[in-house]
Amino acid sequence: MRMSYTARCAGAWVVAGAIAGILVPGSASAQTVRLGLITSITGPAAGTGADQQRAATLAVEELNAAGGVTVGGAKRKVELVIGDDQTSREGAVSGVTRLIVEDKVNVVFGGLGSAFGMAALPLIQERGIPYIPTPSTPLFTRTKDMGPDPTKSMVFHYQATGLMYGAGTADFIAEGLRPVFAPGKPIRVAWLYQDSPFGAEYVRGYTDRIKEKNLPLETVATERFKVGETDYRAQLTKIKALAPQVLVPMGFRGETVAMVQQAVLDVGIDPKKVAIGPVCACVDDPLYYKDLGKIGSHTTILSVYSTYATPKNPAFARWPDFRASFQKRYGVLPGVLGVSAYDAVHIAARAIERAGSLDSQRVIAALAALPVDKYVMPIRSGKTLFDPKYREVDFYLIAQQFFWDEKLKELRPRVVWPHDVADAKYVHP
Amino acid sequence: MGLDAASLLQVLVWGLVVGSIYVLLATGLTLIFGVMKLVNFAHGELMMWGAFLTILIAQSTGVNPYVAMIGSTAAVGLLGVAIERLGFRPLRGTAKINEIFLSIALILVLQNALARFFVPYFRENAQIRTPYATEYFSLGLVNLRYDFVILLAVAWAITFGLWFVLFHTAPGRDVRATSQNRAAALLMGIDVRRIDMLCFGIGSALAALAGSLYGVVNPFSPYAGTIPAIKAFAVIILGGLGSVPGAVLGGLLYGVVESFGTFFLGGSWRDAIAFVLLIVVLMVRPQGIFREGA
Repeated sequence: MRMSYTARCAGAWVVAGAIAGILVPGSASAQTVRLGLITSITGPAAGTGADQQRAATLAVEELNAAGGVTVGGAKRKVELVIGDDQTSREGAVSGVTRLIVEDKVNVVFGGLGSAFGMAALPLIQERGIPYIPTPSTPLFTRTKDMGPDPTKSMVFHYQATGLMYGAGTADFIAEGLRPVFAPGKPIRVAWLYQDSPFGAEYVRGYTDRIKEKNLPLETVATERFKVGETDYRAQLTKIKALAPQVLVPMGFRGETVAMVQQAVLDVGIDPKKVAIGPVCACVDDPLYYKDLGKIGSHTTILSVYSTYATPKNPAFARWPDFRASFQKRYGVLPGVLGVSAYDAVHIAARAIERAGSLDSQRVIAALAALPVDKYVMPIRSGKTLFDPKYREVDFYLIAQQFFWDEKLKELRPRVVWPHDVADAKYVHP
Repeated sequence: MGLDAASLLQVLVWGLVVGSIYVLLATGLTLIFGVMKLVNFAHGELMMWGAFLTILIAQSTGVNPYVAMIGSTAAVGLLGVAIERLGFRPLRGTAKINEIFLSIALILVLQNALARFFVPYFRENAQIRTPYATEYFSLGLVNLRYDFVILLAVAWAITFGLWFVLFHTAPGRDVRATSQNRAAALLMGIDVRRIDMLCFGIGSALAALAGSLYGVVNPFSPYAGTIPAIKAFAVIILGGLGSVPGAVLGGLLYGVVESFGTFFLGGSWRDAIAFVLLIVVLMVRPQGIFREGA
């Protein structure tokens, strides 16, 4: 049977339209909200990147199960697009470029390493895409051209910064450890920290807080190590000779595990005489409890999210449900960086709903005009709100002490600070 | 700062421990270079494969990690033989740039292949756990974990064994002859291609053993071999290219200087100190501590 000329023309248009739909990037996204997660899918940090990917996927599934995101009165499904920063600055730039140019995402969020996120920042600025980074450096929103004038910034920093952690460390040592180790006199503190902007901000937050509150802390050592270092024995030997009462090992998870183990097992720093911790919140991950082993008993961690403990305060109320959903979906528990990616998806979705549009400027304005109810990360006010000056969030920090669980053969935490949310007192080993 | 004798002795021990790992790594590298005049940039990746296979064997079979090291060392030695036979041998006689690019390609292949297996189990890093983690040997002023004592004993026994084979056996004589004059060795009836394969295999096995011992005292990851391998290159330049005694002395010197440098100047200087030492030595002795191929 011969087709008519009209039918052939119509067929050709249908085929052409279908091909265009396949070939033109972003054309398929017209009906969906596209959220771009930039994280480490390959390279040394791929394991933690997978945690962020899983958490973001869970959040997207939750949104879609509820019908999607309402944009201009119509429900749209949410699509998660993954950008791989390859655990490198160059990878971050190419990953973010791809998310923005090829995938045409509406919001970029996530990330592990501050240096990688910072490397992609100029591109974000140039394109004016809403950005919710989850690494810790305050420089995301405190650089000269991004910070002081919020109307020019599209960056909304969703992670406790090194400055916040440093200040929290000083507060915890003064209020939680000094009464036990040096009552009535200054407590001697030694630092072994990562030689990176993150580490420097951490120590700066600590020293600034000591000056600000005139805390009775005497810093006897500030030893540094290069990122990725595995042997800390020479620095720890030096620290031991200075007889500190507190050792703060500050680094990523693997670095912290090695520092604590080498301090106690190899160099002979006695946990009965020296309080070890608080370690960085960034290590609060199921593997930390497993990898550190019995040697980590009585050490402490400053956290913004706990893998196992739940303080008795409304700010932390969502933790048990979130852990249960994550474990049900993936069979494992998330770490703190996964949690921040989960929250970032919900925050982005809520901002788009409020904007009523996918227009970048309107989404940025909506993000700036939050609050919305908080999600999993604990926030003092109970609302997710980016402060107008630096577009940071005032997270609620807690200190936990680890104890060996003989049945589980793993460490488990108890919240020991601040005292109003603590479920136990700090225990001297 | 506390300059007490115990601290200084402890820092010296840390230097000897890390130096012994450099010795094993650099000896393998210098053996390959001495015979084949080939710089294998993927030496650090073979090191990490050794550590990974040790932890894999130990965890899957339940054997003592030090026993597992025998299997991992042999496996990586065979991998080295295959790399030489299938990779470097066909390139022999072509431009040196081909060998360089092949070894760079091997870095990527070995690193990513390892990450493919490693990351799902260990995420960023792992450490080999032995039954002796809390057993100590007293040195008077300091206590040393058994693991460090075993590390030193194994590293030095292997190094001494290698020296004995090289300088007191017929196969060792063949290796030295090939290293000194390949054409003359060939004319004397030595199967130099077999020597190449043997040396690449032994060099790879030494890297694997260094990796396993490193993994007992330090955390490691698929990407952790790069820096030790760079230092091993510096060690063989320091000691004299192709010289086994040079690699031994250079490795020890590097470890001790690095350890004391970190103690006195701080961890940020750790890598720089060792290279400053290299520059200083080369200014005085451009050929390295021992002459090439000694």
